Amino acid sequence: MKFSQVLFKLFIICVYAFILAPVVVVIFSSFNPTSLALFPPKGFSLRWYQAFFEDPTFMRAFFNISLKIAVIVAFLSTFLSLLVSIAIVRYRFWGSSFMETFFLSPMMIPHMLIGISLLLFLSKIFVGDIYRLIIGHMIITIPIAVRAIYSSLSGLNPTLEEAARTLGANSLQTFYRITLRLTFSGVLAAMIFSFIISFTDANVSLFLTGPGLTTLPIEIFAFLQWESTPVIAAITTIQVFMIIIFSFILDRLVGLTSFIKY
Amino acid sequence: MIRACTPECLCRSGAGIAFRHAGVGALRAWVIMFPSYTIPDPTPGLRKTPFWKKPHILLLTVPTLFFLIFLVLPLFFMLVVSFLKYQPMKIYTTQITVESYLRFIGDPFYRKVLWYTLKLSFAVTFFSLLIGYPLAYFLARTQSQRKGMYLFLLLVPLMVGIIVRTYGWIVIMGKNGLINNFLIALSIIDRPIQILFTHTAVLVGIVEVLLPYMVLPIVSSIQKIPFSLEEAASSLGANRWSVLYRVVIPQSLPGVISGSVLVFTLTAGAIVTPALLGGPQIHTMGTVIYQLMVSTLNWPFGSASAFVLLVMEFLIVFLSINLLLPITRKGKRV
Repeated sequence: MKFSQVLFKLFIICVYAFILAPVVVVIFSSFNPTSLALFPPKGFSLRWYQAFFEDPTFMRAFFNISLKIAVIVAFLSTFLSLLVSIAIVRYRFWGSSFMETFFLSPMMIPHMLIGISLLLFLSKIFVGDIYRLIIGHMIITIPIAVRAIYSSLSGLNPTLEEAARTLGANSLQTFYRITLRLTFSGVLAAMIFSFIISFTDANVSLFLTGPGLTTLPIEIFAFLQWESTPVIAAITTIQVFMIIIFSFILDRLVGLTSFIKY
Repeated sequence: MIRACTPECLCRSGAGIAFRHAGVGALRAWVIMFPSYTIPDPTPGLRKTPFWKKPHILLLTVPTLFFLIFLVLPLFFMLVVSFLKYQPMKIYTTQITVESYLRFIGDPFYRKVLWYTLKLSFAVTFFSLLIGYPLAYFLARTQSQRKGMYLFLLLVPLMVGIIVRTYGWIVIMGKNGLINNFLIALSIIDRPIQILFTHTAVLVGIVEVLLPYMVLPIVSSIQKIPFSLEEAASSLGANRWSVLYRVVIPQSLPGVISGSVLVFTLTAGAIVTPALLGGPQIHTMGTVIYQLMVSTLNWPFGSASAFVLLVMEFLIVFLSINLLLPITRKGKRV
């Protein structure tokens, strides 16, 4: 191996260390027995996990609010994205590429702007906090979900659907037994993507959370502005493992590489 | 093509000519009598479906309404609010002024914050390109069995979200953090140094948080360049650097541009990372707008600032794309 290649490899390792450093540090410091967020840990303890499970604010933010919103958003976004993808992939109509851009547009608008505009608009027409958050998260997750379903739907040969129709299935039967079955991985991927984005979102939620209804990331954000204890490390470690498991499923389903198709 | 016969197509095919002048009631009776009667459609594709019955209209109505009501309308509303007159106790007034925009331009504090935000965005874009490009090249060209794992390791930080990673940086850079402990253990310093709440901390944190957004588009555009092109260049006598400089980099410019635009705009709008790593002393447009909207409740001024930021971003992105695109074309021709 040449010297330059060794140097290149070393550089890549350094970049990976840089990218993974914060996540790894968080995981290690959550098992730290002392109250200062030290790294490397001096021993092993689960007291910060216990502290998290005894903290009503964080427990509520995690389970009652963030998890609930993320699940609702995952279902609703995936449903709307499915409608959009079928319309765009299966029916080439006048303005279809415009509609595609339209539904992908929230990715190009700064999320801060989406959050602010929804705050202004929805407090004018008096929409409750939880609906506000769900709507905001749906707007930012639909583009990702559309893309996930779109790619798996365009891989599906339309003659299969036509064959089913010829053999006497009505359109709902065809949809359920052919389209949905064969694009199931894409639909599930869209759900998981939406869930993860909704659960970890900060830029939109920052503006849409109200008193008594704060999602987990915003609760952590507010907390960190004043102090930093390993309780945060414990919570975020739980979150990291949850998301790693979901990412693993995603990787098996559609391959995370499909995420690269920008 | 066989279609279920509707009265309409029957008329067109001529078979139902007798019914053409008959009343609607007669037509309905006919449909009830022969519900499953089918005849070949003489003019496939020409049959007129009513506008609202077209499948794509049916499918797209709800999503489009959702986006119109909750994306387009709020953005217009925000534009309107930015022109309203601010009164401390009342959120909505009916007076239209350009006061908020004038205040933004007139106030040196906000000009300074805007300038700092743009500088920061350029710096983050530059550094993440510097670090991200080699990584993207490695990911696009590696023959390793563990390529999937490498990609996974790049994407997991993206998935876990900015709060987790920003918190990680607080643990690393804090007063009792990793770096300070390490330096004290090596007795390079005897008291913790201030790393958190500096410009460097903000820069390093944002570069790390946004690096995947730079790397992924570049990976996909390098993957589109056939490897044989690189082999051809080197067999024609080009060394590694000139292959990289004259073949790979010009061809991957679309990926570089989209990654840079993404990182630039995300940095300009970042709130969480600069707020937590920069502390109360460092202001970016994101943190300032957040305070205006949530703490000060000066919504007209907050909206105006957000629009000024958006316009500046668009101008810069537009200009840099127009400067860079000619180079891409040149690269493709060579």
